[in-house]
Amino acid sequence: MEKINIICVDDQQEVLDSVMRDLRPLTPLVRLEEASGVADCLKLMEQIDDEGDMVAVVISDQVMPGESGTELLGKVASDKRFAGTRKVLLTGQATHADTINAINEGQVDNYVEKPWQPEKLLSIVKRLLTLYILDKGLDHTEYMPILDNATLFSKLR
Amino acid sequence: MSVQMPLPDEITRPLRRINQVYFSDPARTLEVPQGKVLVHQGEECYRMFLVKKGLFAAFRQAENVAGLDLPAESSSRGYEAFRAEAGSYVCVQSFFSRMYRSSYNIVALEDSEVCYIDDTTMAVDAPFYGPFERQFLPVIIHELAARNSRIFTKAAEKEEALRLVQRSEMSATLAQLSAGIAHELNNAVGVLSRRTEFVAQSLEEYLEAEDKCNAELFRAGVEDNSYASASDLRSAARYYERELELPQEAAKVMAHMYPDTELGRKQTSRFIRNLRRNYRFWELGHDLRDMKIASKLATGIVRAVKMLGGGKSTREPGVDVEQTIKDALNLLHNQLKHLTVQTTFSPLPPITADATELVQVWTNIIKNAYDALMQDQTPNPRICISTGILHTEGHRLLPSDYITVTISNNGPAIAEENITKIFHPNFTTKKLGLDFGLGLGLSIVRRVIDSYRAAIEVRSTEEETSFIINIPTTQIHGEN
Repeated sequence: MEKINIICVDDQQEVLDSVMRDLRPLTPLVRLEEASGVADCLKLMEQIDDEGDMVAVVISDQVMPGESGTELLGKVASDKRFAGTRKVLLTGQATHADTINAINEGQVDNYVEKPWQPEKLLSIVKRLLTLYILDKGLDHTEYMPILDNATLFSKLR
Repeated sequence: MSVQMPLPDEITRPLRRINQVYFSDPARTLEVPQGKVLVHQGEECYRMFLVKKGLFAAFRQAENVAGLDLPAESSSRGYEAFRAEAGSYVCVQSFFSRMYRSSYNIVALEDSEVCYIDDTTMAVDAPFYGPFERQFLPVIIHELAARNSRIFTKAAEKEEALRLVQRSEMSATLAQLSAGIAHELNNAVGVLSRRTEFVAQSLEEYLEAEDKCNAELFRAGVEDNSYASASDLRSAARYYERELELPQEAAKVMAHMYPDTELGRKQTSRFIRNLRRNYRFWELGHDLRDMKIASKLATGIVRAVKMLGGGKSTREPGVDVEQTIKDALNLLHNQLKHLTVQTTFSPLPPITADATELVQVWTNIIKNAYDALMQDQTPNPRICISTGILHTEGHRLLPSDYITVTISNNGPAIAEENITKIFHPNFTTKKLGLDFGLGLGLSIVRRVIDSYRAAIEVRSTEEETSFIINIPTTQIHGEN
């Protein structure tokens, strides 16, 4: 069966570790992956697609050396292979312009400010994951323990 | 000093005639040796002069103006109002206004020669060239133009002085603000950093007494200094999934503990069976490691902010600048292991300074160079530091000798649009890891440099970026 991936992107390993830890309750039903920057994330997504797997959510930091989180999310948004992929910007220092770009170019589904509340981040990701699974017409019963019930009910009603 | 706009030909041609006709009588030509006063301020004077050779300066003495306290350096001969080189006229206003009283002390700065007319001089060729005043109109215009350009120069100087005042007001506000923040944060950060150490130590002692193996794992987590990238971790995880036939979650855990697959492969099957349990101790240690790193960073930030807020500065004579550079290099010893540092020291006179402040300046500049080299991954990274003495020439008000310190690196050029911003607080290009930039480093440098009345210059090309700092060897006291 194809695997569902959730990718976290941050150039600071310490931050990446924390995000991964907070999302750990989602494993092993989905696969958590980490990337250290835009190029690394795109490489990873390429690889996941080659293996026939899916990317449900990308959670990216904004300020990174080289390209920014908004640029990454914009690239993901315009890539047909990842049409349903949900996008989260996780940042502590986005400017007003960054925020506008995130919405217009990056088409973010959610914006989380650092420092974040673990439960809140987890519930956001669960909600986006639920939407992805329903969008793709996957068998949601397999993922029940990690789905957002409210979203599930409102969509299935 | 004053830059005069060139006058049009219609003015200069008549001027040449006037100089020829009125200012060439040898009987009315005077030699004025250097230092001699041509006319005293307030003195009756019925003459107007043309400077034929040499250079004069006009000084104006304050006339007992209430509340006006002139600085000591200018009290002896008053403030300098203007200079008159060959071709200039002196005492034009006093002559044509019929006041016949000079407003300035006119002093020869070089051995000079002047020629004069006085109130008995008659118009030459009046039927053709018109009356005396008409003939001298170009001289008056010349004088007006000169005065005008003098006013422009003064206005520009005032603008610059105002800009400096504004900047120092800005940094004063920033200093107060940051001193307050630093004070508030200092205690909080102190508690966090001290207790993190304490918790780590107690936990280790506790685990050591309970189970040597867990203590070992915990210590490995605390002491972990592998900086595996996310993609390294992924490939290690894939390796463990494949080679040790681990489920992906377990493989990921293995990758975190042993990014080096050679080491991970050597672990016993018993260790791997208990992986989840083992990882908990390692992770606990690793968390404390991250907390230690973060609290160390926070402590450094608070210290830097305090410095920006201008902590107590005690300046004492006899400070060895070379030693402060060596101190800075020692502080950065750990980072500088990754690159070549070349030093060329010349013998320097001791100066009056606060050694800590100087160390802070060098540390910030060197650390910046290091960060730029690392971020850019410049091949054969190199930082060169040299010292020397600069002798100034000319008419400077400041002390004549400077100690000059040049710190250069072979990193990337500073982008042109950034070069004016690098000294602003909050400006940074650093983004790497925990060592991100605060944008405080160079603004602290600027503050300290300003307080020493020193100058800092940045030269940046593709090959080399240099910071050149010139510190006057004689410090003026009571400035801070």
